[in-house]
Amino acid sequence: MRGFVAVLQREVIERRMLLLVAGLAGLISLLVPYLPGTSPQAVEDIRGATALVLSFVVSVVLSVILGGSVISQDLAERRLSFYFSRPVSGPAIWAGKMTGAVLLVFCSTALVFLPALLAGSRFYSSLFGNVVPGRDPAGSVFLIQLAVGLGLLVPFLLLAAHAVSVMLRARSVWLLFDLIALGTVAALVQIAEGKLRFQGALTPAFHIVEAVLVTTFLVLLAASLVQVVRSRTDLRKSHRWLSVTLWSPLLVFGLASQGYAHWVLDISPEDLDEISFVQSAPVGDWVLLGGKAKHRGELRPMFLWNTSSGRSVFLRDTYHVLEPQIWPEISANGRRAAWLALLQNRSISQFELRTLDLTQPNAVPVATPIAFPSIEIGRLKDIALSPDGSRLASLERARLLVYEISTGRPLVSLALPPQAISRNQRIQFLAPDLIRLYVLYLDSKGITTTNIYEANLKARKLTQTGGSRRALWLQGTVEEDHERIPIRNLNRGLLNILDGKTGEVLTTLPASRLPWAMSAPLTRGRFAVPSGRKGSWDLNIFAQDGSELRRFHFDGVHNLQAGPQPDPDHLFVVSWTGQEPEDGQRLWLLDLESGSSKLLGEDLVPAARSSSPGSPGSKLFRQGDQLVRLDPLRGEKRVVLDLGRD
Amino acid sequence: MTSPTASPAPLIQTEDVTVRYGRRTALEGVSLSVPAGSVYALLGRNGAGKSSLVRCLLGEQRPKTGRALLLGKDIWKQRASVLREVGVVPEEPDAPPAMTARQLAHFCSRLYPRWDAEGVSARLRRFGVPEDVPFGRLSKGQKGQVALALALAPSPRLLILDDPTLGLDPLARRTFFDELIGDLADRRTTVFMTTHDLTAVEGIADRIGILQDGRLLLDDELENLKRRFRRLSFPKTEAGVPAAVAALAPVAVAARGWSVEAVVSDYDEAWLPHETGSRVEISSLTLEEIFLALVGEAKGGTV
Repeated sequence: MRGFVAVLQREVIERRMLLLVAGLAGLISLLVPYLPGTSPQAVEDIRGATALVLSFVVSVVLSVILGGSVISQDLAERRLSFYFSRPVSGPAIWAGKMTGAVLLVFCSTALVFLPALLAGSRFYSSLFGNVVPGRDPAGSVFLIQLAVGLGLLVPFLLLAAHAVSVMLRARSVWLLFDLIALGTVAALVQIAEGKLRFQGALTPAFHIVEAVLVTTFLVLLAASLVQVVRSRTDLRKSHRWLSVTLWSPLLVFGLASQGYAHWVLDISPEDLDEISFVQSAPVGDWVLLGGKAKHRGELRPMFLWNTSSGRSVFLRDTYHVLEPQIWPEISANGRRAAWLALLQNRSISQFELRTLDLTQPNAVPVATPIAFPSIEIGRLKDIALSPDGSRLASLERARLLVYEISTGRPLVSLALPPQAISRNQRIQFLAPDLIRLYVLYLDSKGITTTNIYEANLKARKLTQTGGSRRALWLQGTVEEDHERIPIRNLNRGLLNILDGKTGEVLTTLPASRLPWAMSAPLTRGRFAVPSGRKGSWDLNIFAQDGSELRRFHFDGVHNLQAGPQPDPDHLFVVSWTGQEPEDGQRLWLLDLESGSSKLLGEDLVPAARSSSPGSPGSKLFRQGDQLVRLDPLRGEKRVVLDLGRD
Repeated sequence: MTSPTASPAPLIQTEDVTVRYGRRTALEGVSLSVPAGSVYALLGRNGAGKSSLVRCLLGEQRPKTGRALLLGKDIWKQRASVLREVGVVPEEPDAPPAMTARQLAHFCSRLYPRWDAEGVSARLRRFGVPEDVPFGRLSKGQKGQVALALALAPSPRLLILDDPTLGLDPLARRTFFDELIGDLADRRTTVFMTTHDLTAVEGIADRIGILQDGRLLLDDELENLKRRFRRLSFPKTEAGVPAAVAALAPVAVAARGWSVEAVVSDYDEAWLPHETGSRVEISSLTLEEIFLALVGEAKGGTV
């Protein structure tokens, strides 16, 4: 310890002139605002900004300069033996010199920053809140953030500069090894990271970037220490020890990152920790399944998963939402799925449309010629698959485009009128040659309306078919036949059923004012609407004309959730007896024809509430850690996915 | 009854020390020991491996094979603790150039358990070395005196001097060694030094080691050396070196005009010069002559 303190003091004293220079540099920020032509109102801002920029520049430049000289220069000029011929241990020499350099950088940075801070903190207050410590915690938070940021950046730069300096000063053939190792590590990490990003696994890709920074910092720290302790005063040997200690773990890290990327991407639904959504294909056995993966950080993968065969295809991570949030599509005939995947190589960064033939048991994802440059992805508002899966419609750059997927050829391109251009647009194929477009339009008076259009692809014509002065919640449920849109009026406790084509109100039904009491469209134009209060709830079944068909009464429950339907005549309903979703959860099967109800069990929740009647998703339920296929009409109940296994 | 008297433990001991720099071998199996209280001078031509050995002794260089023990401890492993008892005067004064002698003394004083601050000042005053002038601005002789003062201040049990008079003028060299001799007389400090100043060494060294091409060619007490080595001069003849001289296995033979000089390393007082059949003059050698005979150009020469 005595040696460490002596070396540390020596370093600081030897370079104390830096502090004087920093103090003088700090005065620059006080003088700059008084240069001719500066507005008196801008004095504080200019002073604050100048000090901030100067202190950052000083910390970076000093870190590089001191890192490149504090040990390596002594080594090159054979002056490190002065310390090594004294009773000071190698670690104490290393730590004393490095700590001295870090302290010098910190003190110099503070000296540059402080005068402006003391002269007035309005600029910093406007940026980060009150920065005068003690007055406002928010200000102290900024200072702490600044200190932590610099506290990490300065040693990192210092160590990196030290390593580079030793390599260059030694002038040995090991420099070639350094360059090769650097290239190899960079390539291994970049390929692993790119592989993850390419698959949309952005969280693990980010983990690799984080890990490479942390590992590099720790390895630089260890390598410089080992170099000083093992090679002592020999510059060339220093270079050898530095290189070996630096690159060995980094090469291992590079290989490990490859292994990590492979492990992350070798994922299946069995690796999920929890399921956050299930979306079923209208027909067939495929569902879109998403959730949080086990032991993979924040990876939230999305799969196409065949509930019968168990086969799955990893589509992308959904944790980092890409703008726009365009989800995979499954064609109405259930034969094709399509999604956007990020494709990135040296020169191209784009979202590529990929498809999977859901009719083939061992189909693999196929890249299509359709791609959207990632730089323009913000202009892509929505995509839709035609019912037969052969065409893709997209809303991009104020145009509605329809592509033939197999060739990538645009079939139709229709310019949108000004009232159809919005941040919130949605398209649906009604038929192979008919597309409906819903637009949430904000006019110049600040009034939001919904405009509805239809595109006839054969006639290549876009026509406004209606609209509504209401802002229809386009992310909400649109009934399967596309003809009716349910819109709730919470204030008045009503459910308006609108015509999907014109936006006109067809009928109005009484509904709960509670936001979580969601209605559900049923087959044959019926609607299930929950209503009730204080533990007594009804589920009303309304006919297409708005007349009440049936009423199912539930006592002692706090909420009801209707849907999906295992067949046209039955409806699943979940009731809760407690305030929390997990409290007293029960699954019921209602017979819409006879009006009877049957309790199916507890803790069973529909996995895909809005699945088409009879679709595989309509029979999937979550029960604890399991995904269960339940068909009470056939007496079937089996676990199709067990998430409890580790 | 008397107990057997053990010889004092060596303060320096190297065991089969080999040092390589890449493919080049700097030291090859060097084993030597320096008893406590002695003055050991390691001689050798430039590049013989002296500095490499000193670097091993200071724990700056790890031997490829073998080990170096100082004060009975492995210097590579216990460098910091061993150096508390060791003073070092390097070949090239390596102190930070911006530090003054006073600052250097203050810095070093914090590292050693004992420190004779007054002694440092007195020594520097005696030699007219300014204490407040940056080290980088001192003359080479002054730097050497500062280094010696710093090395002696902690009252070390062992003093290691790596060619401390290199580059000094004869007067400075003389002063340096006079001062050293004075100190050694006072303190009975064990000294290990490398030097090219053979005349000065001859006055103070007890034991001599000679390195050549990384190998320890010779390691013996100075008195012994002087007793063993002799120069035999005899007339040059067609027959070359007389058989009786050749039987002494001369380490160097050189023609000098009409005569031939052979240096033998294992001279026996019982040897009879008349057996050569010619007139032979026998003379003793200085350390410098012994050194030159062993490593000089005439070494191994033929007539």
